[in-house]
Amino acid sequence: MSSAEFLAQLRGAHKAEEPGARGIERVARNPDCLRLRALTIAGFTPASAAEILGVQSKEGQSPFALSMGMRFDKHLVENGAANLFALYRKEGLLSVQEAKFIAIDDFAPGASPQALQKRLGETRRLLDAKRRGDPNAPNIIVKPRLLVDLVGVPHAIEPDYLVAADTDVFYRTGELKSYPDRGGKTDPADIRSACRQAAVGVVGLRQALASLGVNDPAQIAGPAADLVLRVTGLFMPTLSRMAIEGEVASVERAISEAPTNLQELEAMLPANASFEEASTIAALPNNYRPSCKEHCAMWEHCRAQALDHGHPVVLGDQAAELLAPAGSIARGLELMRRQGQPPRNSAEAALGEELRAANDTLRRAVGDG
Amino acid sequence: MSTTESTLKQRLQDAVTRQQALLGDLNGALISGDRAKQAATETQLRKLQAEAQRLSDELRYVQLEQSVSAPRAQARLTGKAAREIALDAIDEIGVPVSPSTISEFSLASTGVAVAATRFASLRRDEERAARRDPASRPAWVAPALSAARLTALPRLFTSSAWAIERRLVGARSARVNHLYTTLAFLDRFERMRATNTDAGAMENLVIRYARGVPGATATGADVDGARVREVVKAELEALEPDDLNERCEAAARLAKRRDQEKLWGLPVVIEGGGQGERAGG
Repeated sequence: MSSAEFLAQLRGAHKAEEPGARGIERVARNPDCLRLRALTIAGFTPASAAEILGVQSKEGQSPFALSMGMRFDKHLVENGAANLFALYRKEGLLSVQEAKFIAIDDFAPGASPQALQKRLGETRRLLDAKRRGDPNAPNIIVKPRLLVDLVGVPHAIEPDYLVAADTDVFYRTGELKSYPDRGGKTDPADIRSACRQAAVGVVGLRQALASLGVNDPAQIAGPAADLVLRVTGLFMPTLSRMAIEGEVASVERAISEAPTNLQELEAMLPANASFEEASTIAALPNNYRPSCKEHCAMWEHCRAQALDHGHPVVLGDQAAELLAPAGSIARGLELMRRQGQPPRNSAEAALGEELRAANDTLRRAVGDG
Repeated sequence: MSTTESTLKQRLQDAVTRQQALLGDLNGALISGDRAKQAATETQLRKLQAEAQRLSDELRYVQLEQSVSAPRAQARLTGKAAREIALDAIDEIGVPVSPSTISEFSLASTGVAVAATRFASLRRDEERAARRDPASRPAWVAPALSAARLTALPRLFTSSAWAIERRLVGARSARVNHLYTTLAFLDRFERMRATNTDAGAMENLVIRYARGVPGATATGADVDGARVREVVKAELEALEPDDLNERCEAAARLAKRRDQEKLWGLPVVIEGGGQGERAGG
């Protein structure tokens, strides 16, 4: 069975959903989660999968944050991206003459297949113009439409914007986020997430360059991105230039491992299995992490499964690492209490000692020792 | 519930309470055989009954008036159709503008709110009507055209009466148009202020647009028209020649096309059919 046929079988009657940069970024966040990866490749969002699993989807931002994000984006890109351009001027990254701007959805607004295809074509034309050194190539492209290939299937993404000075060889991706910029105290999870989304854009740019016949796209589309955040309490933007080698590498790794996952999946699932069945999704191996609740709608289901199996990760990442030799909370307790099987190896023995010492300390501290 | 309605209801309730008290008095007079008190009470009761009837009628009238639905927002506001409002704004600003800009400008300058969404159907209606009879109106609301492709940019409105190069949008035009729009808003704001018209909303619009031009505004300060004009014009001087060249070259290409194509743009050709994306396959 070809990959496309297998994916069609997995999807059944479900209409494929575009994962977008956020969806691909999610996969890169938890690369060991086969469940999330397989669903993304097959065109299911975690929210749809959560619905099939019968759990209430708690994914996504609050309506307030969403509305704030949309207003912030609009504020920056409206009127010929005047405010975004002013920011780059202020930072000395674009000159007065470098005011060439295009919003891709001005060419073809809407979500019809024709409009989407036209946006793709226009983006491609503009990327080619920049690559050829056309002096009229835009300096800012808002909402370019790019393709990211997963298992031979192109998935569309629309980064917030691309930017390049006239002297730059090619574009860098830009992400607009309404998070308050608190300098070094900005939530690292927010920054990491934005950088990974930008990294998906870099991968999209590299794949576009490859399709235009460029031999070494990574040389031209470097692992760098611009992050635009908001001044705390105001609607003024701030700009940070980020190096995102690690994020690009993790996205490329997640994408390159996808074909292996498909073969693994085909061998693992029964014939005619479909993700429309809750049991098929539930049977997929997952990799629950406490950080899943930041990005995945299925986290409650996966956490419940982890709890059923007594997986130490439900106690947190640090506990999961510590209890790794035991493999489960129950075995950890056995080792601490010297019950059940004796330690199977030196790691288990050391863990038992460590847990007993910690337990003794705790009991002394609470006056029960 | 309106204030009038609640006042009437209160007065009616007071009348009923007083009637109930008088009925008690009347009952007492009948039992005691006090004819004088009986006659006086009956007179007061008749007056109160008349007052209650009048209040009741008034209350019904007020409720009836409220139940009649409020008139819908008229297509013609201040005697102008949406297309006329759009064309007036387009002509005053003088460069291709988006429906949201027209809407904001109309509200700030005339107080007439026309939702930007109403302009979406307007452009389609205009194209249909113009294709039937192009000479039936002196000007049409027509889309701006891409200088690179000569295709329509449906989100930017122009007037068909303009020269072709004014309707074209090149690589630098978005910025040039923003600068001209800022100047047009500033002109209108200064005219409104000179005639003592309430220009608060217009001033906000000028500030919002001028903030996109580095050096044109200072945080917390009032609009300094001379400064805005100076900074905007300096930027225009740097950009406009290249922008105009690009648009004129495109206009020369478009001039060879049919009249309908000059108005509504070339048909869209979708490329890359073999590269069609599918989400998930």
